[in-house]
Amino acid sequence: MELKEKLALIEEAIDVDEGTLTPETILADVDEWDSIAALSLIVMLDEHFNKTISGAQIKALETVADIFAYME
Amino acid sequence: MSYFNLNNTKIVAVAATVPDDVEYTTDYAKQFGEEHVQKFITSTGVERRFTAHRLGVTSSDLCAAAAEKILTEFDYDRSKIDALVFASSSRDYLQPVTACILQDRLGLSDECICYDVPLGCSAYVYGLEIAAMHINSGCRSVLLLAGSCGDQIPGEYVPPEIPMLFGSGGSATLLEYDESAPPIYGLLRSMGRDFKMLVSPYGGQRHPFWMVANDLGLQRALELNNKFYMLGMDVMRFSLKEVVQMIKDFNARFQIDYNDFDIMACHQANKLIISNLARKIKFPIERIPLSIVNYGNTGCASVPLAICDYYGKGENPKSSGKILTCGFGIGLSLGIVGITLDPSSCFEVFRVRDRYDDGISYDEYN
Repeated sequence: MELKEKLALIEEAIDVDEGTLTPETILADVDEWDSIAALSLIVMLDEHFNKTISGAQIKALETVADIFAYME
Repeated sequence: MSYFNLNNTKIVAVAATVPDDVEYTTDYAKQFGEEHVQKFITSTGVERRFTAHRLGVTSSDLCAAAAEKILTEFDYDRSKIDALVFASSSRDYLQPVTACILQDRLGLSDECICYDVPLGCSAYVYGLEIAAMHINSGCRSVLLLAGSCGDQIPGEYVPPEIPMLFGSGGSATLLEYDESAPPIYGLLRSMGRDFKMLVSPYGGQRHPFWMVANDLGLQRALELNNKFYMLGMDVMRFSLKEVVQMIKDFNARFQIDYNDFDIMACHQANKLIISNLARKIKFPIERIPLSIVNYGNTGCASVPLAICDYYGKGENPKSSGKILTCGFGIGLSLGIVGITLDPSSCFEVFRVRDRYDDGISYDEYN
């Protein structure tokens, strides 16, 4: 999957405008990144990549690029 | 061996209640911001819920009203009720069990087995198995009462975390011995290793009040007393993994064909969980009633409430009454149970205002 597609999936999951995120974006700096967004991200990773990740794994995410590790 | 398949147990009737005090999620827009509240409604589904604390109504009040409704409408012989199980973690007192108080309130005989099963969101499915076991061990009739109420907080005070998710609800299910009844069958599981995911750690015997007060001071101890913790993201993961696996195992064991069932009355955790659970187990989402929209997550009551919300209005006359019930949550504890009920014996959800006067006074107990 291309970088652009991955970013689009993440943007859709955490409900931010298209093109808002880059791999370097720090999640803590994104206003929309809250507990509900995190739940949606868990669902997206489960649905598209068959990865069911834990709360601890979510908390360990710092940048958007960190999410890519679960998008293989 | 946690599969079971029990005969001889007829589900006579189901009734469900809520406190007569409605709150709309949008009422919280000022407090949490319009955008957050809308986002909350979209993901959880909760548009309104009923709360108990202003009326001072307890889970047992809600369940008693539901049971009274069934017993009165059926003009049922109360002396036949040989067991009453209060499946709820919202107890009236630390001790004794609430079931004994309910036995007295409902005018049941002294020849009645009474106890509480203080599970959470799995209480109802466990209760179905327990009730069917009692029927098969000689009880003529069993009352299964499952309900949950939020904290009995003072007046208008709103708890700071997830105040909009949990609603209050009560229910009663009457079961009786009948050799021709269709089977009650299912699968129950527990995963205590993950108990910290959903827990009220303070106030019991492990971390008693005085110990917390010694360590953190009286004020902080008061704040933490009975406080409930939920690791939402891990609950989501649990729903997508262990609950899904349980349903798949159940389907394989009992060779389930979803077409045979009217609905799956699923615990109403939140809409995001229910819709993704449906996707993963491939159950048609339109046949999982979303009572969470109007009632919130009502814990122990959410499965019977979903049943009564679906059948109670009599809008589904062609129903077979064959349904799947599924509960999962605190413990962790989870189960799925197949039952058959008479849709016309499921009462419409109704509201309760009355708080029971137990006669306890500070003068006497001081």
